[in-house]
This record gives sequence, structure tokens and C-alpha cells, in this order.
Amino acid sequence: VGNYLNTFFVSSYQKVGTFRVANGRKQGGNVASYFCLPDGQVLHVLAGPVDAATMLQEARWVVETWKLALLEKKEDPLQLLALFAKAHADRLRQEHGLTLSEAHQLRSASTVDLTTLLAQSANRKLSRQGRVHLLLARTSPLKIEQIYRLVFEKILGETISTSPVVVAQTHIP
Amino acid sequence: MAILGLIIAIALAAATRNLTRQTAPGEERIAALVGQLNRPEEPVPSSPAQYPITQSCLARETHGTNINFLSTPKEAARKARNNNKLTFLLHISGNFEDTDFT
Repeated sequence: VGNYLNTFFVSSYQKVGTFRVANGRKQGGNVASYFCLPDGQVLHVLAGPVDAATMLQEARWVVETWKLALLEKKEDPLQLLALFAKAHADRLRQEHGLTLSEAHQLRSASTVDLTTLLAQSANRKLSRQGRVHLLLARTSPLKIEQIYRLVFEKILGETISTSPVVVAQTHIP
Repeated sequence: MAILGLIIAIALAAATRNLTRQTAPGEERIAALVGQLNRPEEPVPSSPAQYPITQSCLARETHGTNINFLSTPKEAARKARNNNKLTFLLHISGNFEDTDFT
């Protein structure tokens, strides 16, 4: 996994939430993995922890879809992201059984629009990854700053926080 | 009886070694990074002094994985643009620099 990511990606990390340690046990906490263009346009997201094999599979899907877009000369970001939106719609249909109509592509969607999209009754039944595919299929282009709060709070159920990790000391009487 | 105990101990040690050798070095941290962050049962050290937090700002760190991490997304974006690569960004709870706080 490491070699593959180092070959095709430049990686970084950011603390967006926190968790609590009480009696030596972690409470809360999560992770979201973003695959993006250098300008922050989101190509794919893994919401929550996955094993190494899944990480490799999803990274390969991003890279192969990206290479396909370049093969088709879709180097313009809007064309490239439209191809990714279609790819997400295909996965949403194949893996999660939800077919989207192409007429409902959202452009310049606000956080409210995206939250409303996730809250629709048919979409609430989707798994975390299904909701990721829904967002990225319906909304293009989408930058990481537009989506990270939604992913962390509405899909993962965590809270964005700048607080440090809290270690509650065990009180021994 | 003592010999039987010794044989069992050797067999258990060998089995444990085989299990731990199935994963390449560094892969455990990747699996921990992407697959075990939300485990409520995971114990953490009782004393922060035992595992001091290292807020390293070196240009490139692996943080116990096989992945090279740059310290900021902006730096990663600049390097990705220059090298015609994509970016891989982790949004996490806690301090990624410290394995006990992620």
C-alpha cells in the first residue's frame, strides 16, 4: 500500500477532530481519507477506517480512473471531474443499488444542498461509502473544504474539533 | 511433565512468531492507521511521560507507516502539482504524529 501511494500520490494529514481517553480506553475518533487533485478537487473519499487491502483497491480505482481520463484527453479539471462523477454514479448503482438520473447534477452546491441530499429518505439507507458515492456522483466539482465537515459530521458522526485529545485521569481513592 | 510443558511452550512461541511474520514491516501501522482507529478496547499508555508526544515538523515523515507524509496539505499540493501526482490527505481525530493519540 505504502509503495503504491508514494508512487502516485503526495500524502499529508490534518487533525480535524479529537477523542477522549478514559480509563485507558479510547472513546470516539475516526478517519477520512481523501484522494484529490493538487488544487483540492475531491476525486474520492474513504469514510472511516478500512483495511490495507481495501485502501489499495480504492487507491488503484482512483489512479486507473484518472489515467483513463487522461487517455481520453480529459485533462481539463471540469471534464476530468465529470468523468469521476459518472464513475461514482456507476459504483453507486452497481454496489449500492441506487440509480441516479443524470439530469440532477448539482453545480456549485452549498453545504445546505449537500446536507439535504444526504437527508433524503432513500439516501439515508445508504452505507457510509454509498453516501460518499452519492455526494461525488451528484456534485461536481467539489473541493475538500466544501465536503470535509459533511463527511466527518454527517457521514462519520463525529464532530469537527480543534480541542486536543483529552486524557481523563483515573481517580484512585 | 516438565518436558511436556517445555514442548508446548516452544510450539506456542513458534506459532506466535509465524503469525507476526505474515505482515511486512510498516504494514501493521498502515492497518492500524486505516483500520483500527475507532476500536474502543484499545489500551493506551497510562503515563504521557512514558511516550512523549513528538510534534515533528520534518519535511517528510512516515509516522510508522510505509507512506511518506508531508507535514501540511499545502506542501503536499505543491509537490503533487510539480510532480504530476495526486494528493492523498488523511483527516483524523487526534495527533497523527503520536501513535498513542490517533
